[in-house]
Amino acid sequence: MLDILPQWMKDGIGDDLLFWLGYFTNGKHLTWYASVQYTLAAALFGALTALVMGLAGAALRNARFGPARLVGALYINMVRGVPDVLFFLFFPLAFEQLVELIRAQAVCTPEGLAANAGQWPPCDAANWFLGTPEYLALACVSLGIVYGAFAASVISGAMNAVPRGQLEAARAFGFSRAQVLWRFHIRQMWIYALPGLSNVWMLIIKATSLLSLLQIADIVLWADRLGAPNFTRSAGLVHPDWRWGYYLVLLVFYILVTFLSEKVFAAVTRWAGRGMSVANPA
Amino acid sequence: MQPEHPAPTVIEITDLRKSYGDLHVLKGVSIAARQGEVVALIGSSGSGKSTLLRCINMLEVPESGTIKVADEEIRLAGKPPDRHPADEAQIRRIRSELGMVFQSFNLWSHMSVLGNVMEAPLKVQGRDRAEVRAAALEMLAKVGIRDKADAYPGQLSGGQQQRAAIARALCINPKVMLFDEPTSALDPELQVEVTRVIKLLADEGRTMILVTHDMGLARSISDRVIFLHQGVIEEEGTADEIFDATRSPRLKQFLAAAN
Repeated sequence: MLDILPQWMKDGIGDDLLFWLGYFTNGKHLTWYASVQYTLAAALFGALTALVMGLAGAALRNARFGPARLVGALYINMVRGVPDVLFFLFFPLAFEQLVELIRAQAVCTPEGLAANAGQWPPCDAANWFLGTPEYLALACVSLGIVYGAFAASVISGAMNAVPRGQLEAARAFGFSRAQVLWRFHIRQMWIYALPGLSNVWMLIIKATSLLSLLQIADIVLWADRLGAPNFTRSAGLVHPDWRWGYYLVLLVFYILVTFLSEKVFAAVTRWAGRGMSVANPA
Repeated sequence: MQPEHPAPTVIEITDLRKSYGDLHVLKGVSIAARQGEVVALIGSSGSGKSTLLRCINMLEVPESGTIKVADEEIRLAGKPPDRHPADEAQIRRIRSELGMVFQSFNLWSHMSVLGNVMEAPLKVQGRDRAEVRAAALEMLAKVGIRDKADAYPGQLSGGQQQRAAIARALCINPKVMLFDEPTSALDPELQVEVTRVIKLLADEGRTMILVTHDMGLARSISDRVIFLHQGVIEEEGTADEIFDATRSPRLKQFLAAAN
């Protein structure tokens, strides 16, 4: 990496600094930096899925149709109690095997089934190879399902906090059910839901540190690898156990993300609550 | 002075009944309002006057009886307590011709005052934006808060909010204005500014049905006053008949308590 620098620049920088510059820009470190994209993608798309699941869960929870209400209540109350680590392990594996099972019905020959008897997948042809993009998608769905239950709880409460009189006024002026829902009810719901949703977002951010459970080479996995005592045949011990330093970098990273999130949420809350007395009590 | 050909009936309510569980709020009420008429509904709390008003645009659905708006009967379906308007399109169309003003204003707090006034004409009636904007500003000027067009409801006094709510109801060009205790949530000094606007509308010859505790207002603007007591019409007549030639002892008692 540093080879592209001209000699006069290398001379100016000095050998010690040059070593560290070289060390922190070697291939593995660059891969580590790039793996931030998985963490951010999982957070953003996981949060988006959680929001959709939250809206759907809240809609079910407040539905007029009895069985729908039951499904909504079950989702919110059961899933909130499921440990995210456990669900992270369970859901992608269960989903992968379900797909393989369905695929097996179509593609497996009797010979293939016999060859794999007692093993998984049922036959080699049914095997579904999952790469990082697939695992990332499954991670987002897992996050969405688990934290969607929290979001649903928050949104459901916020829907009930919207002043009834304003919704009644909307009905009295002839707005349709869908218009009342989207233009008034959901539009006003945000201001009551945002504080709770910002908590859910923080939980999702924290849960992105679990990506390595799904074979995704994320920032945590790379910090672990790079910090571990490093021997090479040619150079001997390059460095001893430096993991604490790498973990510290991750801590700082998460603190920065938290700080940034709070700024963004404050701005969004100001926007959603413009003119509304709940946002400006003064 | 009676006109030769009486104006057409805009609202016609026949034998309306409504109860909440064992509580019978309306026990067979029939009223009618002709075009240009101002009808005041008075009575003590719990007499059913607000429920009656809210049945006109089906914010409350009656158990039996019929409601006609401009000779069109609102069709209902289902048995109580699941009784509901049978035709969603019909009830929306009828609602968009009735301008409702609430006791608690119920302005949409996430929109500016101008946004509140323009919302229904744009999104329910599908009118042209430039035309609606001009009409909305004209209505705000009429109620005296043209300068508050860009403010949010939370930044206004109660009296200003209620005047904005009146402008919102006016801007849909309603066949009838429905007022549900429009001054009850206001301090006396703020009631005056709202009362002034309501009187102005009465002078314009608008059809209005007004539920109120303000006997002075009922007396000064009403063509007809209806006194409800425990879910039935106890006495009905012109403002003079009701206030100066009271017949029913219950109404006498009510008026004595109100003054």
